[in-house]
Amino acid sequence: MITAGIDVGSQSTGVVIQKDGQILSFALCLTGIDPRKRAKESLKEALEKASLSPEKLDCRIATGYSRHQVEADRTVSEISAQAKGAAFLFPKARGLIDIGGQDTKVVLLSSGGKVVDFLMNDKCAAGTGRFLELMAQVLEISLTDFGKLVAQAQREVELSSTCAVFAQSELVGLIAQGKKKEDLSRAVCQAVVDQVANMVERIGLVPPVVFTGGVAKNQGVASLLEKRLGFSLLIPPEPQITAALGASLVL
Amino acid sequence: MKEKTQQNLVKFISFLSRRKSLFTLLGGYEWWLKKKWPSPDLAQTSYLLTIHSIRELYQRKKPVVWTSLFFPSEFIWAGSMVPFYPEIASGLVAALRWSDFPLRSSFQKWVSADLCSYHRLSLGMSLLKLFPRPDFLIATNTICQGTVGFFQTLAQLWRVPFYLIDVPFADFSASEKYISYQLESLAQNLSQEWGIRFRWEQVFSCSNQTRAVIKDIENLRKQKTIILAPPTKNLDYLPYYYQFMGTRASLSFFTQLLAQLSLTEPSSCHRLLWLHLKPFYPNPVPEWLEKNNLGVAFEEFASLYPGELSSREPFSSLARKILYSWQLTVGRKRISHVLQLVQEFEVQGVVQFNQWGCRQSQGMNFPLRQALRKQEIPFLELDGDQIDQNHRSDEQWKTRIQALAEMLEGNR
Amino acid sequence: MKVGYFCGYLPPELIRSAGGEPVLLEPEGKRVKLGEKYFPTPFCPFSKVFLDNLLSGSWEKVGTLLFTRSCDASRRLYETVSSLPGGESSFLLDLPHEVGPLAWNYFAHQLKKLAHFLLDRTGKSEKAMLSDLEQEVKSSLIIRRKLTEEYQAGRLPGAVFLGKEGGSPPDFPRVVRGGLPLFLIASHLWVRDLIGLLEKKSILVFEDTPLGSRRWLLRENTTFLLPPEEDPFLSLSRLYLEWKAPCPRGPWRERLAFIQEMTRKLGVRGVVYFYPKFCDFSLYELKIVRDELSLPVLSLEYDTLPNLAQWETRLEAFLEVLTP
Repeated sequence: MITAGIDVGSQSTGVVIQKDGQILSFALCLTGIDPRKRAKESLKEALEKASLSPEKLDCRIATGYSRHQVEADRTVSEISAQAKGAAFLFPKARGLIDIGGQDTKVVLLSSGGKVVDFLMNDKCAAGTGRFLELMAQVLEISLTDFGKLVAQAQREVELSSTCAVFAQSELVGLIAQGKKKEDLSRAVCQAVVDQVANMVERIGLVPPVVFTGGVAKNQGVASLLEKRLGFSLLIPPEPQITAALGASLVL
Repeated sequence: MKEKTQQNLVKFISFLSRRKSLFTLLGGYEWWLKKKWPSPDLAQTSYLLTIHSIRELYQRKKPVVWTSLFFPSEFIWAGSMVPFYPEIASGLVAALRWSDFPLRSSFQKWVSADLCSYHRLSLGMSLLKLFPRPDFLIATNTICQGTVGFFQTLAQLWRVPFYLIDVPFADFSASEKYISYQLESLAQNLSQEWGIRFRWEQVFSCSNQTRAVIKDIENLRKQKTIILAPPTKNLDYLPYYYQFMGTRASLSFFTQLLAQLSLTEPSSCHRLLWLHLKPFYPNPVPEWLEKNNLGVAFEEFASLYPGELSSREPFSSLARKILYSWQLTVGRKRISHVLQLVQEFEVQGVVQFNQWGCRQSQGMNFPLRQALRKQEIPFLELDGDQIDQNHRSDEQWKTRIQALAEMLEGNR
Repeated sequence: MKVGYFCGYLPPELIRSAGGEPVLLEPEGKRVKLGEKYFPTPFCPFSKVFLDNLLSGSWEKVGTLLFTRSCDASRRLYETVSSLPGGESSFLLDLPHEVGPLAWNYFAHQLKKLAHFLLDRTGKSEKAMLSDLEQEVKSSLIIRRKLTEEYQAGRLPGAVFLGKEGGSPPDFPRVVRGGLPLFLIASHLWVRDLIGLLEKKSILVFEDTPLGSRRWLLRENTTFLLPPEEDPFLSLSRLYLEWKAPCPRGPWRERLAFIQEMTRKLGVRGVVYFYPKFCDFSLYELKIVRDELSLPVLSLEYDTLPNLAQWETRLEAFLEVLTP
């Protein structure tokens, strides 16, 4: 049976084509303002990579923020899709942390990869990819610079982790005090880590835990999160397609 | 609508609302409606009661008393006064899609956006002089201490007396005595200052009868196939549980609801327990719940004091009724109450809508989640605001609800 | 036995007379790591920082913790602490909202319960405790009267009241230098930081905080005497509910009258209202202070970390308005 999982997130869109548990191909692009179009294009790209015609697909399963807007045979929530994808890649996983553009999800998994409990961030943007973007703008750096800058940080600087707006004004204040960009970058990543770690502790995740989403590619956040939690995280080679992979496996 | 036009319209309505004689005209309309609907259905009953309440509250023939959600309305009805629950009325304003303007008005007058939006909206409606003018205020701090600040600010805005019934958290008998003394002294005070005479018999008897009907409704809802639809609808009936308890209006409403519920088609949806309140502005949460085959078996706020009110010991029995709200506010008691409801109503999941400005309910989420986990009952939190649409996050709610449904489906 | 407390309505006089050593807990500001998971985002920052300090071992030597039912956050904080390992040695003192004979009697009863809780742990006899309590209350009143006079005369500015462990009185009188007099209304966190900042700007700060003067000062026209036959618990109850400086939890008319009286006597030029985000009482009081006080008010908000740079900018702008 050949299925396509289509994850249309707030920031990126991912498609995975799968046949009986074998990943045939995947595609990944930015969602932009026309999720329907992007999903179509990504599906086309993935099908081409797998040398398949659309008719060969037995089922298309959509997930992600705009799952109801795209053409699909059925939908599944990102929570279940992420859990399924993570459990497929790491069968022993008991937890999942997904930090996407708009949402952060922390999922507790049973031994069979089922969702036992989950939490999502509250309305506040702190602890999401969006927060990192905002702070990167203030620091005049690109998102990919975080990893390098965090590694170079020397002094501990603290930043409120409760609210993005609060944190932004604090950051401006700290810049005014002449704090270094490297130290501030670490403070920003630490603020995200603290928010996420609170959710992890609230729900009681124990290793092995999978880390997915666009922010999993940020070395700064990943290393600080591992340090704070006290255990290593399992990061898939492409952490942004786990939900699409999971969606393709739900049948 | 343009800001200026809206402001002028508000001024005009506020001016009209202070013309008592205008509301006498509603009497004729009410009489005509009663003729038109000799045996009204639930919606018609609600409409009639709304018209009647508007007339009573703005005509001001009797003292208008603003009070907080867990202060028993029976006390006010027994003194032939008219109760007004600003927290309930805020829900109504939000349902009419008109919460933005009063919320903005309160913010402009230094009411912080981090406070409870039920309170913020009521303060806005007070600043605009749209809510009916109170003669005095009575509140309890049983549900939250924020209520005290809210009523103190109302007293400052309206320049009227405020009587607080302080609800303690110590042992039951000391607390009962303390509340009972306060109620008695309040009744004496009102008699002296306002010439109010309390007649308990009729109001208490009506309240007790209503409670018996509500108990029957509860028993029916405990049956696995009975679901009151659409989900969370019962929270629209809060005025009957709180504001009109002790009147014929509540009794006849619940009698009708019982009859209607007895005829409900059997349902096979997943059963949920709903904690705290819900967003009252139009929103798709009930629709998503239904779409995902989720029904609300019972609501925490529909839990009523199980004892009788007795006119032989009016103050003690009212004190016991007030103290029943410990089930909602005292950590351990609330958790064991929730677990008991989970069992009695055979629910498979628990949902709480986290109100942004509500410290007391959210402050309990951590131990509550742990206790429910032990029973293998999923606990879903929907974050947002029940009155202020600026805090809504529909997409997240949709995802969370679908994920809960998938979890329950997986457990089936 | 060290007994930790932070609320201004918990009488150190009672702790001492029951054989305990009162320790006024002043949480250190640091990143909230251990405390945050217990509470949601829109929740009292003090509770989070307090829990963080407790869980990270800041008060290891304090065996017993006392809380009050002063607000929703404080109640939840108690419930959380009492559910943790060792939580059985914490106590919640039920604190009435109202004043008047009913409330005094009720509070006296609760104080008695607290005394028994403490006596069970210290092993002191009730008789010895009662006699010590009477003495404690008497001397406490003498000190409070003197402090109130000194404070109102403008001779106790700055951080002089802050963090006096176990409620021991501050030194007085002090030689006071000049400066622009401002009244500072604040809660538990970052008070020292802010006073430091204000003093750096040559401001004569008169603080009204639960860590400082609010624990000590008496209201105007207090003629409190202890009739020898009166129940010492009732005396203590009245001292705290009726005569001690009121706090933002109300009743608001009395609280406002107290602030008006103090600001008038001290001749302050403005008020700095320094409040925790998500504190309902402060948020409501801020509105009342702005509406009813005929003085310029600067409001500064904070969460779980101090933001000195932001406060300084706002403070400078405020001072420019006050001294053009």
